[in-house]
Amino acid sequence: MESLVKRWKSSQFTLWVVLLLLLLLITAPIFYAMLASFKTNMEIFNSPFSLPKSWNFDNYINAWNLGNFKQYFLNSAFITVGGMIIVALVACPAGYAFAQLSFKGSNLLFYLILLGMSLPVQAIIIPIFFQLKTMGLVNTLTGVTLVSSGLALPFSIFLMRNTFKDIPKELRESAAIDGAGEWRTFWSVILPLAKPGVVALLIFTFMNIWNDFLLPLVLLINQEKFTISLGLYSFQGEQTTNFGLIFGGTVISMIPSIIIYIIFQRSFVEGMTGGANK
Amino acid sequence: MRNYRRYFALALTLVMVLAMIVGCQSPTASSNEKEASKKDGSKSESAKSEKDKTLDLYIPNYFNDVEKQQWAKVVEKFKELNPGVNVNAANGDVQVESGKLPTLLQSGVEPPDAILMNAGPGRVSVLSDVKLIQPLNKLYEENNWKDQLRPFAYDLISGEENIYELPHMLDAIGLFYNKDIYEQNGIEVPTTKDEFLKALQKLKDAGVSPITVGARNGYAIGWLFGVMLESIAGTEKVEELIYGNGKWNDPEVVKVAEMMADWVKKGYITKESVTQTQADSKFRFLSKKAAMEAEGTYLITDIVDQKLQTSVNSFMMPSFIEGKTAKPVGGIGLTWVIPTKAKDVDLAAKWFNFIISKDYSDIVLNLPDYNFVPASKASVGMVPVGEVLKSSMKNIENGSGYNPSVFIGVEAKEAYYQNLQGLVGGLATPMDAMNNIEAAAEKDRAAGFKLNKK
Amino acid sequence: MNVYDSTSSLEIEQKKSLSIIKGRNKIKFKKMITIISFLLPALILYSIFMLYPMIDAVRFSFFDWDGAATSMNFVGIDNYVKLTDDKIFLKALGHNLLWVVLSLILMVIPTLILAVLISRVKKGKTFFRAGFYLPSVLSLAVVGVLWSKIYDPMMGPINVFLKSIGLENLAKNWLGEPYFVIPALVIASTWAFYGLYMILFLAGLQNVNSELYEAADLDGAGPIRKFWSITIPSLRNTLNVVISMVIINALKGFALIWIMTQGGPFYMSELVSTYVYKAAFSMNKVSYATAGSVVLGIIVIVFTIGFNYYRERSEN
Repeated sequence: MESLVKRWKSSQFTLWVVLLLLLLLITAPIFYAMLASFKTNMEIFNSPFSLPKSWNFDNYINAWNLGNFKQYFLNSAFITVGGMIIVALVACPAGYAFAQLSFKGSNLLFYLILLGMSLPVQAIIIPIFFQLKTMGLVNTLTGVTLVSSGLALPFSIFLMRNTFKDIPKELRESAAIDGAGEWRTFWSVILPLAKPGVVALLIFTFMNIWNDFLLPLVLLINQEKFTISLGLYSFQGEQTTNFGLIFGGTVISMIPSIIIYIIFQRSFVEGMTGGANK
Repeated sequence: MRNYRRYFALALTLVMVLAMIVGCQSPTASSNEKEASKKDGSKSESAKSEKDKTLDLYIPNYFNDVEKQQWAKVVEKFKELNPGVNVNAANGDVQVESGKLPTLLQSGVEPPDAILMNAGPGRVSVLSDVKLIQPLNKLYEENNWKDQLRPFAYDLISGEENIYELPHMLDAIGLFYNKDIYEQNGIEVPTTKDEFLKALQKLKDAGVSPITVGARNGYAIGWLFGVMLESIAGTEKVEELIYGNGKWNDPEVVKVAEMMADWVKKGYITKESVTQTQADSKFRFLSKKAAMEAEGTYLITDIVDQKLQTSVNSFMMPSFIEGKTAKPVGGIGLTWVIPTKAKDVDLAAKWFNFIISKDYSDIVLNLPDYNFVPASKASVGMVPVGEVLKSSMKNIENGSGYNPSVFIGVEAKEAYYQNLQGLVGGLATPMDAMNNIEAAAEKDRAAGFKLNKK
Repeated sequence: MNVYDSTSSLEIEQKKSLSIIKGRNKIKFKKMITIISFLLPALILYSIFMLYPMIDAVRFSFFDWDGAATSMNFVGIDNYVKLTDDKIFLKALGHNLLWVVLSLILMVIPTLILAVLISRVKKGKTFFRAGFYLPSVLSLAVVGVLWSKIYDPMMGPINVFLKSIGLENLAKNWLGEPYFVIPALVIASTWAFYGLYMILFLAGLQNVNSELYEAADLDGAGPIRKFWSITIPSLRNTLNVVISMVIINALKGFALIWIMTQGGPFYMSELVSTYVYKAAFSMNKVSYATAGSVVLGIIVIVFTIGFNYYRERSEN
């Protein structure tokens, strides 16, 4: 018996060590960037692996102010929050309709929407650009917000449909017997039960829009409208010679996603597996 | 909780209505609306205009703080000379290639009064072909701009019936070099072909990278090739390529490509160049890890920024042709245009007059960190305080050669960038590369691309 | 709705049934309005930003248009014919396929092994799951900038490390040599995407019947045999999902390539998406580019539909 415990312990121990080493290896690029962001150009060049000589935040301060990351940050926040609101308001009722209200052609319609899930954005980005142009929304944050929400819909509706499917139909029926209208039932009976799903939806939307690159790249023109991804890209391109500054900007760009991820880690993972396993 | 839900519902309806408005708006309806709002805008503006006019400019993104301050000084001077005029300078992408500039002008947002854009006939014509910018012939006559521009600059823009631009500055691309590295290896600035090749070999033998280039950015490998083309094949050959019936697979041009490939093989051009961006390469050069880099005067702000004025300067790669001197390659770097829908053309003209005035050159050339050669005649003979700009301006006094990237059509340009990358990376043979570029240039010609020069 | 179809001779009865049907219609109508009210916002948004552009994409591809001219010339399938003759487009398509194959090799089995290891951990499973997922929350812009610095031939940590231990010969210009550029890009993209698949595998592993392992233990099966004969077969569904997602994502790739190489050097990492982007937005060949993107879209959609069809059939 004792030896068995020992064996379990030791095998668990090796597993731990192996996984920990793997984890360090895989997250090494992130730590590398963090270290480099405190270094001067010459330090990065001459001693890429050592700890910085001093922990100075110059690169962050310069990226934030001179590199315009402050502006990029606000732009990204606008687009992301706007997108989250629109997606939640639009995808929840639609997901509910597909999951709980039976109507003719619901399957067909649903598959039509699902089609958008596998469609590569690149296939339609050119028409989207010209369409926004006729709408006068190119180079506006509103335009990017609307398009981002539109493109997020297929997955969001899919996710919400699965969420609402898990809620027994009897609940809805008994509410109907009590005389509640469909919308009333939705708001006051079903939606509160679907809270975890809604939270997952919001986190997903946050990640997708905050991290998006292609849409801002195509749809935004003026530097002052750039999102954080696009800002980082243009920051490292062209004429910037300061690697420390670039890493400063890189770390600034990754902090929000990492924080949101750490806070909502659990619902994030649950939402993801829930979404894909159905 | 219940209240909260009511707001939620309210917001939802709002979004629905909004989506409907946006969705159902036909293009005509939206343009009507814009027209109306524009009228409103102009009304309020004309009311103000007696006292306060605003000139809206659209200029390139600042690459560093130095440039920002330079612009602030220039604008300050203009305001001083024109009391009551406000200047509002917005920054943005001024490239035609990225599609951003045409989009901005088409998007229906009120356009600026004047735009400073990346020059080149292929670029300006993209805008003028679809009438997004207006011809300036009348303004040229009224203000006699022709005589106020350097003749070389004027000739480049006046080959067609209409003139659409006022050149802002001339590119002067040459070889920048690290004086320290030269001195350490006992090398003088080469003045002949043999000296130049010897210098390359000497640097190589000493374990120094002779030439660095950021080939991942097509325009940067284009600079180096342009410089080599000018020295090895000569200005006339390049003129033939751009304006005449020259072919890219002409033996003399292929020879230049062969030399470039050979230099990579011999280690004169560092082999990492193929993945370096222009930024990487510049960093290598300025941190003295390479002896030379082909660059324009843009580099000056960085040189000043890193306090390298005394240790970096530029020279022209010596001509390989007996009895010739190579000129800096370039053309017009940045140029001013006026959108067709600009609201105040007079104000823009006033600004243009200022740009080619002696006042303007006086200010900028006295900035130690100024990095452009002005296109105005007023600047000819003036001596800038910046050491590096001084030698560039001297080199360009007798005119300039051509940087092909600026003068060729879209197909040829893409092929030019990619195939030069292929050359530097050892991925394409010189003959194939030049054949590919010629094939692309042929496509441009078939699509009606043809340049005329005065 | 043949309300007057009734052939009943009794008027009263007719009226009665009529009013019932009318009432039913009313309810039906009301129900329809409700359903529409639930769906309408989504449908509007979807139509404007997905459906309509899809139609437009197909429409553009039959014209010759530079994006600025006010008139478009109808050219039929000319653009598609030109694509079949465009060496660079075909090369890009080939790179896309290579990308798919490499992604499958790098992502599926290694990630599965990682997931199995994590699932064996008794304490701290959440910690490892969260830690290993971390790269996936970064934006592709961050990943692209980060990895292009890692691959930097001069000061990138990989080459600095190789040189410091005396393996200069192995220090390559990772993004500059024809045989390395695409694998290097796929590694960066694997780093950015494997997290999702790991989570999916972990969820799938939870459902594997543990009795099977116990039985195998009694038979004295080693870990490798258990992996092949129990883990993989029980994860068939998850594997299907993951493989299809890997393929679709590989075909969709754009941001990383654009940030790290822009398709270069000398077209060596050109994918359909980068080629199309350049053609549309820097060369003004809007309709031609659209035709290229339609081809990509069709490949992805046909694959998805085919795959789902296969999956449904094999599950039955």
